[in-house]
Amino acid sequence: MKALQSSVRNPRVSRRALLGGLGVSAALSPFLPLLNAHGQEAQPLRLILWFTPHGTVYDNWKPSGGQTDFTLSPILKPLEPYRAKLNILDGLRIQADGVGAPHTKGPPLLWTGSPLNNDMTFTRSDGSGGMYYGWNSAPSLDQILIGKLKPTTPYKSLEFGVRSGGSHPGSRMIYTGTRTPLAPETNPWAAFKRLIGDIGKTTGELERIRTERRSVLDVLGSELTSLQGKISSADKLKIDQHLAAVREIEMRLQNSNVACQGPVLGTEVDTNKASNTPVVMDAMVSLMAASLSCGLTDFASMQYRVGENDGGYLYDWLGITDLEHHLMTHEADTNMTAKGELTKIYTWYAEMFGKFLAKLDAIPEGGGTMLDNSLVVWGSELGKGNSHSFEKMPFVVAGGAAGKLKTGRYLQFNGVEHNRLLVSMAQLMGVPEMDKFGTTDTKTGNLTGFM
Amino acid sequence: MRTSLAFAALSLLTSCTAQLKGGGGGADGTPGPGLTPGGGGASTIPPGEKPLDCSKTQVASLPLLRLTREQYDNSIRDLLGIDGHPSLALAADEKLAAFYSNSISPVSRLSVEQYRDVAEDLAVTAVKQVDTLAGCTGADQNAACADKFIQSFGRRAFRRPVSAEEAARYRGLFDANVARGFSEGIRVVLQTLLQSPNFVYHLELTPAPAGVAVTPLGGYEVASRLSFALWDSSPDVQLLDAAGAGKLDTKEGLRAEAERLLQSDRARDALASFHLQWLGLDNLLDTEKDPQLFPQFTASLKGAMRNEAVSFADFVIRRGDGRLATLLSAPFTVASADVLSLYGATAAPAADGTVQLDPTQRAGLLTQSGFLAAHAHANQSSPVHRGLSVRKNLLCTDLPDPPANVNNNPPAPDPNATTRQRFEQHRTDPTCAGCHQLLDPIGVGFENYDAVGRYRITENGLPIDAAGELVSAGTTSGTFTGAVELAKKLSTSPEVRACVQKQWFRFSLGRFEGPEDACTLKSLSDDFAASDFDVKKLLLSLVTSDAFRYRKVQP
Repeated sequence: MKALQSSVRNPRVSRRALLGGLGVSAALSPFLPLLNAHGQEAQPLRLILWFTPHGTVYDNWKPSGGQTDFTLSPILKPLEPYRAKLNILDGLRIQADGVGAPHTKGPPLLWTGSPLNNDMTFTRSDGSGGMYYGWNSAPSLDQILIGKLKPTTPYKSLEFGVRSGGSHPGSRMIYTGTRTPLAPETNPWAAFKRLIGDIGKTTGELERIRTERRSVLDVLGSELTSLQGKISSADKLKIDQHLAAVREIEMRLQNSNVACQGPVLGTEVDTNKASNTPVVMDAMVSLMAASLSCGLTDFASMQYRVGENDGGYLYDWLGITDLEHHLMTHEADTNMTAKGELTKIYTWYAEMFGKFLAKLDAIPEGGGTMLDNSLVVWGSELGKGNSHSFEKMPFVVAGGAAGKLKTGRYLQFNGVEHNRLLVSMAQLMGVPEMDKFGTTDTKTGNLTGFM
Repeated sequence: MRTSLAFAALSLLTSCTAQLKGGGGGADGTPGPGLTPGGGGASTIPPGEKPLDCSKTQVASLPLLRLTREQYDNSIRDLLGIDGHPSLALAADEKLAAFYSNSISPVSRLSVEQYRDVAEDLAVTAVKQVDTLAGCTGADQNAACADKFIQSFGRRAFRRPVSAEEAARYRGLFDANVARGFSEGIRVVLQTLLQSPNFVYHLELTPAPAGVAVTPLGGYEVASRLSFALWDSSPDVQLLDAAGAGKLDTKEGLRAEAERLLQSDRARDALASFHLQWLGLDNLLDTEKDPQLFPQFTASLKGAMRNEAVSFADFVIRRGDGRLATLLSAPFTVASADVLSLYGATAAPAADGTVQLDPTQRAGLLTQSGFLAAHAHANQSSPVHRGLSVRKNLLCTDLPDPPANVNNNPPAPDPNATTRQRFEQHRTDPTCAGCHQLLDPIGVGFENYDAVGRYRITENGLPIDAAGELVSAGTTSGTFTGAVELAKKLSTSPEVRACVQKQWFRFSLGRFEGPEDACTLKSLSDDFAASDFDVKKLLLSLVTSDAFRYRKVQP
């Protein structure tokens, strides 16, 4: 961490002086000003989508006071150091259209604003109201923005997760299109090795590995191309996408003189073991911040756990060992023990989010910090567990989007659909013409009062 | 699947009530409208429906599948002799109902890099013994040996012979790297083979004659399906040779190879995958319990519970009488000491490894510790989860989504009441009863077992009442007392038999049954009945069925 903070001052300028990494391409020349899709000189502006499951305890989440003189709630207290850089959005709702149980359809709806496919992909229905649904029907906002802004970073986007296992709509929130979820990387040590792990290798070794990988990709590309001519039309998408991924990796290898100093992650632990979660989270937060500051990508996401309930999963590091989180969220509002324990969990969520903000805020950039040049949006798949409500969604936005967004505000809305927030995010990221987002969206415009 | 847990506290499912009045199973082996389970290949045809026409071979379509993690790990072990779970570094598998199958979404960009990372690491490990791997030493480690390796290992990795064009590509890789040594050349070849689409996908590309709707699979494709169905792994050389010699083109030849595969201990892997997924034990190792209440629930005990289910199923199916009834009602198990001590079992193991249990307390898979612990909460049992699992996995009942707008708090723990009493509201409140009458009356039958599967006769000092009922379960409907009686009821239930057959179909083909599979399901059900419901025989019928040997031709 120290290495990261001291050596990556303005990463967009200085990182070439660091190391040569394999996962990194110099398609983005560090000494040229960045140009966005509209050809204007642009600040490096990043979008980070941050997910935690099962809503919140609203009473303990809701700040008190007015728009600028507010006091942070117990749950959001860990964000106090960044108070001036926040927008706390109270009272948004998700239009939870379509098939699927709330925990299942919530994560995809959050960033796509679109429902699950109404098909029988995951369950064979008995044809009379059985539980059935498919993957999500439309892409998430970040992927749409990538398509429009055409970032030249080595990775278009990076998806991270902590214990976000399973492969199910409730465990996938990022989609490039219908039926095409992007799986998050859940092992920060594996990701480190892949993204910035070539530190210490000589130039000769790096060149050899690059050559070798190019030759491997060449063979894989030939094999996939040959399959394209033989596979049925129904299966062609799978081969096409596989080939596209191979080509993208090849592109990254074309020029790879850019890299940067990685963070110090600490000793690897078993990422599947629940009690290791805080350690894994720390490592992931460091890696995410480094990936962004190194310019590996401008679009990242963090998915902590899944929308599907986390059965058999306890928070022993918070002293909660008797009841699973999901089950606890089903307790009545009058159950003060459950409310207290849930508040502990949601406060821990805020601590983790705060740790990430701290990393971004510690990296000087332009006249401010990297956090100022970012749009970090924290959301959940539900407002509240016991009612499975999509109302009063606990949204927190951090960062000033490179000066485009006023911060230090507590904003209250009365059931405005979150599509307006998604539209605002698109506009802040540089797509001013977008005024609708998601197939659940029946209105237009950005989030009044936020922009 | 994990969705099942979303039912933890489901209450208002009015549609369940409506569906209880629905009809029975369809003639095509898939359930018709209504909740009456089973019906898979049922020989009774509801009035007004046409009898099956099985004069033409029919089979539903199978999407392109990618190896599951288990198939990947088992294949790596069998191909390279490297044990472990390298696939943990790959993205999680998709699941179709109970079973893992990567059939829907394309690989993501990340997955392709993960395949690369895993393959690179495996290749580095494997070439440490390059002599054994390549089958040549010293001066023989040359281009000719590399060619042989590409042909022989490539054939096993691709599960078919490598074409001349493919071989030339791999030879090119070898040539480009051999300057740094023979093993370097082999390493790059190997890491590429392991990333190849021919390895990671189940490709079935034997050309079909023009104009046909279904076409027989090629011999190597049959070998591959057979091996993954019965071993959950890639074929061995003998099976590939049999395919090459055309022996799998006949039912008899295929059956002979299937019998050989089932005799091999590798069959344990497929039986393990099936039973762990079918019974919802696949996440048992990640399940946690309140350490104050259940300090014994350690990683080692969890592993032993998992092993018990696998060893028992493997014993019954491959070395025992093979019968479904035995799987679901046997008064014995095959388990390690820590599980036996949980049961309070004192009998010495028999020569075949089985241990007799108290027949009033234990009967087959459903009363084993793994099932009981997996379908329970951290601090208490769960009649809802246990009932739901029986409903979904043994009776093949699909249930509607829990509604989003209902206040579905579960009854809070109460030191002065039993679990059964706490869940009484589900029965008495008409808004809950619609669906919970399908679940809880089954689940309370398991109340003699706590959250880790220990037998108990009291809870909080109060006597356990384990009287239960199967509601709307076709011919299996009726009352029972305790899980042993329930297990015996289920063990001879026509609905359960039809369901198990369907589950094996899904597992071994990686897809759901479709309308075109009706004749296959019918013949399976006839064979299953003729064998007195011997699961081993069911598997032999399945792998020689039309659905297994043919594929639907897609444009």
